[in-house]
Amino acid sequence: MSKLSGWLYTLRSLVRRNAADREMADEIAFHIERQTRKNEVLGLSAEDARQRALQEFGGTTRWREEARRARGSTPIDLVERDVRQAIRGLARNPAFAVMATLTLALAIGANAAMFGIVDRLLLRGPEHLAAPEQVVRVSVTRTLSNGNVTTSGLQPYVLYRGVRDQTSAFSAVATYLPLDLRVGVGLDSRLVHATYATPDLFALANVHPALGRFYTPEEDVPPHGEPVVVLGYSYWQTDLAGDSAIVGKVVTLDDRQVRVVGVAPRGFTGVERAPIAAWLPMSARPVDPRAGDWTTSWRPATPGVVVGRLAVSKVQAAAQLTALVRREYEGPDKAMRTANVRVLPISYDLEGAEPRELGVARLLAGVAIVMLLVAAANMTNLTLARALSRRRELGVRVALGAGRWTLVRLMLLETMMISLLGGMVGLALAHWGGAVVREALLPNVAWDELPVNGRVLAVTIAATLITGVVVGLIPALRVSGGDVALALRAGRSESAGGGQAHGTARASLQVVQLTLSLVLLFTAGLFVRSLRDVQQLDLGYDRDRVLAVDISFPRLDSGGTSAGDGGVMANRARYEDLLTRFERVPGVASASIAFSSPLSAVNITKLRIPGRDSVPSGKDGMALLVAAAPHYFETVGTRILRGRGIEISDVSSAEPVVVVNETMARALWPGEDAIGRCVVLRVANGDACARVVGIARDVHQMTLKEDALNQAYVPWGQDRRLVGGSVMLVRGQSDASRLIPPLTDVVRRSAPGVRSLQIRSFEELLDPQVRPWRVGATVFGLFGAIVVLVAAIGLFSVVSYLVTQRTHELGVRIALGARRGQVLRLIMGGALRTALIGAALGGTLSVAIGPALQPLLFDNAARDPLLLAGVAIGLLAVAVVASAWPAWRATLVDPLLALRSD
Amino acid sequence: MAGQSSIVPGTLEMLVLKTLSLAPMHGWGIGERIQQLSQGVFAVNQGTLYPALERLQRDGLISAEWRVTENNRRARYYRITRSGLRRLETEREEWERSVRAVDLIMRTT
Repeated sequence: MSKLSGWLYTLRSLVRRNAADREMADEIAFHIERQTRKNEVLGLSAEDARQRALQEFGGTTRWREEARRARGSTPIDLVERDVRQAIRGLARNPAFAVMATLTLALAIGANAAMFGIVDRLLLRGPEHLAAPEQVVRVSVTRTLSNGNVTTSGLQPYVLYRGVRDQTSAFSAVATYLPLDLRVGVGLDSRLVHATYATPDLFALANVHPALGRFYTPEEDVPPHGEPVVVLGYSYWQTDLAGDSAIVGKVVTLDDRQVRVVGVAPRGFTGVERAPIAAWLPMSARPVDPRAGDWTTSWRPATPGVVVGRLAVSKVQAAAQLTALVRREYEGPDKAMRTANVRVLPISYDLEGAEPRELGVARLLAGVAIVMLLVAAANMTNLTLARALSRRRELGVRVALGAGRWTLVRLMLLETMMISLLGGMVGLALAHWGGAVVREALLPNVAWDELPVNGRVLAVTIAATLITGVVVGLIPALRVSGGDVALALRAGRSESAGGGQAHGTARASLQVVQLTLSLVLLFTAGLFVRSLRDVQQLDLGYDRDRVLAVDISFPRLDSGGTSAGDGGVMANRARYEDLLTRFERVPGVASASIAFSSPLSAVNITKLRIPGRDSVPSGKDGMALLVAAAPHYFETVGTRILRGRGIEISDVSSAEPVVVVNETMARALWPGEDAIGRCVVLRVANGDACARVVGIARDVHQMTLKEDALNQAYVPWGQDRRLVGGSVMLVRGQSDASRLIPPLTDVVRRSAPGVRSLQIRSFEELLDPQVRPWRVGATVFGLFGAIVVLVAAIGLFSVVSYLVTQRTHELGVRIALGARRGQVLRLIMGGALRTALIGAALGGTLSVAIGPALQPLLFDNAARDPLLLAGVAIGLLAVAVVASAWPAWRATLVDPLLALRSD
Repeated sequence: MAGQSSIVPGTLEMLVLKTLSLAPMHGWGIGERIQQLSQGVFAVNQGTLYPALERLQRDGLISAEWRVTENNRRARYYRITRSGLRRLETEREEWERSVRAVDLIMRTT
């Protein structure tokens, strides 16, 4: 008890140390005053009385100090003294302090930023989702008759119902369908992410609404659910100003009126990661009545994702579901009878694989850790070199009575201060750098508001402290371990020569740094190559000069004859009218219209060739179908290899014509000339035969990586089904994006009733596919540059240190006639040996990790000897420069000064 | 001053407690009172008094507060606490035992 109160007293006096000191001063002043008066009474003069009083007291400062010690404030004073000393020590060598802090800050910043990203993506799972590792996505894999294996992540509603009602695999199961919906009306409308989901998704996640309620199973009864909506929290906050009376109001989504019943909790994204603006009942989605009953069909037009919370093991769940699918499937697909169901982590994409972005993020996090290791190794090296050069100072301290522990504490404090400073700067870097990286890497993820949250902070502080301790302890123990008194007696040169063991430690740390630098640079190089390959990839069309104008006209009032020719003509006229206006906009090189163009949609037709009995099977019997208006090929930049493109006369003439791509020409008429041949395109021409008038280059329809498929271009406007939902294409004379405002203006003026308008360049449409490589190349390049810089600084400072240490020896050598070249060799030899070993090890490691990197790269091989050689030579060049500079200075040593210096 | 000696080592805190057990007092007053009570034999080394007061405070044996003296001057007054009184009692017993023991030894011829 009294012990406790003693502690409390000490603590209080520590907290109010200044106040306590002031009180003590007051008290002593009072004492002196009283004693002075007493002495006066005894008959002394005022001056003498005071002198006497002070004398009797015996030194106010000393006793004040004694009293303070008695109060118990000693420890903090000691810390303060140590910190002051450490600051003085660092200030004596500011270059070291700044360099170490900066390199550490970069490494810690990179780690904090990457941890924040990996934490959200891989460790924590989606916000609000309890125990995300128990939640799985159902994936069906079929083996087709031709041996191909297809995996489907989207399942029919009937499968969901079967899993829910007939198996015990899951404690909760839900199905949902992410879809973009348009909010607002006309040109001001925009698309938001929405999700149609069964209400059991909320139960599965175990969340509660922020406002109102979630919709109920009674509102989600197939086939037609109630028009109700649960709004996403941030959408409610930003677009509806957080209206607290929103429940019961009506909002317009995709031109449909829906009633708000509640608001989802903040940050809730279901089992995915994209922010969701609106949640609607699964059975409230628009379905095409002609497609049949979507609740019982095994092949519905709009299947959904099925997720469940495991009640049994993954293996058991998969077995139960596999049995269910094989037993319950009704339909012509024999492969479904042998289908296998897998349960996959929810982070996987619909193809049943881990998304490439996750792989890149994980790799980048690994690289950030490597960076921290390199920075720590570098700082250890610098500290070691510095500690060795301070042996005499430390020797003096020992001689003055400092114990080994005191020395260790002092050095540890210095590195701790550097790492704490580095940590703070690093957090600042992570704060804005992290926001940039996560937006660039994964813009479509509901991130936490701040890149630096509590978890990131905790991890960063831990990393900082561990770094500080490790980096400080190794050199401190090494240096203080030796006989320091010996170092004091020894001269400058001898203390350097005595550090043979330290030299080895330094060299191996440097080898580690250079090895990791090489691996990082090589990886960066691979990603840069991937990016360049992607950017230079010939897609068959121009990506930087073409705009895709996605426009949605209001429905035509065609008096019940919308299927008739009048409707088609009116619809065509709207596009054609806009086309002529587009063509008149200054800066437009050409414009065209197409139904399904690259990157917008895929439209497939079956093929038949008259006179041939065997219908081509597999993908040879199919073609991607594009209905193209005149000038289509010149507008998108697809070359016509032979014959001609679609022309104005084709639209008006009744004769069906078609332009095919190289692949189709080769597949259908191998070794023959396709021009003038005849092919039946079921979707476009029914049974009529279309004459081939031209052969066009192959085009990547949707993705960067796809096998060449048959492509057929027919005249736009002939078939009514290939008009509504067309895309308008505009080719700019130079930069196409500058045309977006004038084109928008044209639409605003001439087509006021437009329901929605989106103008994007092909470049922009491609961007999500290019992004992983761009981010990889940028971040790896940045990390690589930082690491090489750190390694170069390390090499430079260690060689400089060696030169300083050997000044005496060099002076002797130069005095004895050593030439400049010999001195250079002497100094640089060690550094270059280190660099060579590092390069060799790094090269080996790079080759070894190649297979792990391969899936993250675009077609280029991960084992790229030329790139590896280039990177190694570059790194060696950096090493030469970093060591040559201080070595050159060594040759300028004045032998007289050097010999006298000690 | 002739006839004066320093107080016996290790007894300062006991003497302070004893003094304060009579009445609350400020630092200077404590020194004066010890001198008076010892009839001028003991002179307190004035500086040592304050560290001793801090120690006693830390151990919870005395407490302090700022008050105004009869001369209208602010001064820190110390007061003995309950545990201080208990401590004084044990110290006194300890002291008396030691004194008797020393006395016995010194009387031995």
